[in-house]
Amino acid sequence: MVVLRQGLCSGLDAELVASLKARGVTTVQDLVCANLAQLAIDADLPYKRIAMVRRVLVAQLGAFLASAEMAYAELLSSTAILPTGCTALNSLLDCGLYTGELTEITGAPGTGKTQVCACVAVSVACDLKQRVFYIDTTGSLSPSLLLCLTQAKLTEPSLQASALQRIEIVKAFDAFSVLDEVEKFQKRLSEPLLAREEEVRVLLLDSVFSVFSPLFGSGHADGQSFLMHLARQLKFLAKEYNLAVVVTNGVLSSGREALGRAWSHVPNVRISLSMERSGPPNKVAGQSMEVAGPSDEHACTDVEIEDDIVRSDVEMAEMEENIEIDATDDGSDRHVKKFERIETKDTRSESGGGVNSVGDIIRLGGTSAASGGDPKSLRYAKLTKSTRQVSDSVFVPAFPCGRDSLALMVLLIFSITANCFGDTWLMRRNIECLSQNVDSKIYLNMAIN
Amino acid sequence: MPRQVGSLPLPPHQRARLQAAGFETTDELQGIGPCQLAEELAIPREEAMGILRMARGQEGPVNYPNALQLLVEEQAEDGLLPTFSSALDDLLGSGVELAVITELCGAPGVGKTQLCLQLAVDIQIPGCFGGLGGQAAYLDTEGSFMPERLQQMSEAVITHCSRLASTKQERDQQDALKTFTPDFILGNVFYFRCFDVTQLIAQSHLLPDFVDSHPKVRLVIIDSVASPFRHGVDDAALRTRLLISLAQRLAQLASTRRLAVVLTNQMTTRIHPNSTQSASLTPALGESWGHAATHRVILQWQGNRRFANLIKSPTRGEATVEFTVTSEGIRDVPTTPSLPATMPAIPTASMFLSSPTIPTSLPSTSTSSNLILKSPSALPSLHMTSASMPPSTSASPAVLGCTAAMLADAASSCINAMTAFRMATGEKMTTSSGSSPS
Repeated sequence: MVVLRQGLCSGLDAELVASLKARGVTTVQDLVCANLAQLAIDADLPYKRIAMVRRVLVAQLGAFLASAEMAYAELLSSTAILPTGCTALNSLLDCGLYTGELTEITGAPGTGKTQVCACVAVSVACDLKQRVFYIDTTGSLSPSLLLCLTQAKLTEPSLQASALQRIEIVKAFDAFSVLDEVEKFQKRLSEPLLAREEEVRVLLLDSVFSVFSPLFGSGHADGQSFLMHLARQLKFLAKEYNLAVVVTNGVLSSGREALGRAWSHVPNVRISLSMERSGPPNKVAGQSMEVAGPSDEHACTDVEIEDDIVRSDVEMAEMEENIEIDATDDGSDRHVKKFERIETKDTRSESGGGVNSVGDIIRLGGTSAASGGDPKSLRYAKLTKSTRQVSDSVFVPAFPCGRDSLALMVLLIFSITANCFGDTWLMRRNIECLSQNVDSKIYLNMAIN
Repeated sequence: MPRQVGSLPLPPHQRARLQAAGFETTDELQGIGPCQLAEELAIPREEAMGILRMARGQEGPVNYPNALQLLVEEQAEDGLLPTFSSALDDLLGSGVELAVITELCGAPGVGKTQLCLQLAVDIQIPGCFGGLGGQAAYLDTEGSFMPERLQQMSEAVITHCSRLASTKQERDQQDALKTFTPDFILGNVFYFRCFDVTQLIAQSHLLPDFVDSHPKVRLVIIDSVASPFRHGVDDAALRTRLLISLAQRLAQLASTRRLAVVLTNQMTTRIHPNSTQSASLTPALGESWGHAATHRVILQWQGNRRFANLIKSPTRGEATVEFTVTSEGIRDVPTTPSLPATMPAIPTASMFLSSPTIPTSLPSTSTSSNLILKSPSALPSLHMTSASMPPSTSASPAVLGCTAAMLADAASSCINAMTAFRMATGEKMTTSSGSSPS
């Protein structure tokens, strides 16, 4: 709905705009939908002129078509996979964070969302030497934590300094500030003149829940719309500038992710973090309290904090062989195995892509498992949504089987099967075959915004 | 992609008119003057000017601080906020952290208000002793603030500091002690009494201006944030919204002015229908409130002993420590019956970091020569006990010359603790200040 203005296209002058406006045609959409013959008679204007203006406007502002093959080629050439800094999380995420996608991390308070974000930031800044843009809405990002994680990866102080300089942190404490900052960031990225050696690769927003949840509710009918504006901006940034966008969300008392169903469709990948606290329940005056128990040794030291997150494959494998989650040293059977499956290294397919299903759960390393003591708290990450990996449900086509529909169905079944086996070569081959044989090719309509 | 008009913080009627007129993005508002826009939207010219100003946004290049600059800023902070229990300080990582929100949850009587009072005194420890030398703002919603207890705690802190000064014999410490009196300490605690939700929220809106006019305020305590919300707000969704916006305001205050914000919360029972345990204690105000605080500590009883359990922190691991409340305030549990053992020094930021140096080779920043972590020499003095010190259980009131150093406060609804103490002890107010007792 672009407003008609003089100079929007050639042939559209002030006089034409005024006479169209007098007839109630104020936007491009109105002009496209209008009955041109009737309009020409009413406005006493030449039909050819109005038709030409309309054609030019449609060509200028309409969407263009592209084939799926083109889209796939573009995807292959522009997508990068960024390691998160935690091996287990990488395996859950199918090798890491994908650029062009929005990843969401949810979890109850204290499960480690800020830690995962910090870990991702440090991993990208140190290992990949790319820049990170971090929007902090809670004030809980501590530069000391970033230093700690950086020192675990790099030993040279000058390298540590340059790694820390790649992480830009901005604090925004309400929804409109966040929208402003995202817009300013986009303006910065779109300026071609700034000579930057390193590109921004990750945008982290921690957390979207704390700034947007006050806008929801009975008194604010448009809280949802602000959230959707942010969603559009973030997805545009991810696609247009090849960023990986990571967003943190919270949970409600019922255990569901916050911000509603509309937001739940926005992220491409969703991970849910949870924590099992261990330790004997204490009975005090008839009430049992969940407590971590007084410990003689002090809190998990700084080195152990980073060990939680940056853990080598070897340790991960050892831990999963030796420890069963439902047995703690005191024999308490509170930790009943209520998760379906634990992904271990052995079940990864040969393609090396780490095909996981939605619903898989991995453990992110207990705090003192490395030291061999009682695991104080075990953190789990569960993949709850992914556009790449399929769930176990069976796809049932629900449209009538004409010839073209049949081809479409065959294509879809092939692509799902291919995905299950993790064989992208097969999928690409199928698309090529089908696009030659089938009459109605599959087009992707990419709208310009 | 240009900014959508619907995402600007405009009143709903202006947004509706903009969209009815066909404006979708801020780009379309660029070429229009305010008069023309006012005509098209049928709104007054001032409103149109406001819209255009908002649509234009901020111009010019924007530079954000990077992690290294923030780290330097953090390290440049001179002084800590200790709790006087080295176990608790270790739990929280070199005392209560500045620029973040710390939440203390606990059952009644476990010591939340005591800890808040202790912190209100500790924030005032002079810089030569390793403290911050600041003032405190105390928002009381339950009426549990006791000026007499504050007086008692401040006397104990002064005693401790004077012992240190006498053992170390440093000039600036002796000078600082001259003004570090109970009256001075009480005069530096600004007391606000909020009786219900509305007053608390209003006060939280007024706090930024208050802190700007009193730049020495480094600590804001709200004791407790749970009671007005639990009793004053019926609608759960409204309660959550109010709480989260309060938390964001406090987080902004803490972060931009580098204050420590300490909140107190109550405990409630959570029923587990499907588990072997039937019920457990959990912090009140719901799950969404749990995301608000940066550090969350649960204080609990076990028999006769008090424990503090850190359950949420981005920088410290989970742990549980024991502490005690004596007549002098919050202290560690004595390990030997006669003498407290040599207590470990307050861990400084340098001890938290796994390597003792910050990267110093930075050609770009001019402050690279100042990137030295503050030496821990000043800080252990706060907890060092020499062998000749008597056991800490006997409170020896050190009577220092009481000069009536009452600081008049400009805020109308605020009285400082000194006035409260004087009122409580029946003394007449000798000087007239702008404040009226509430």
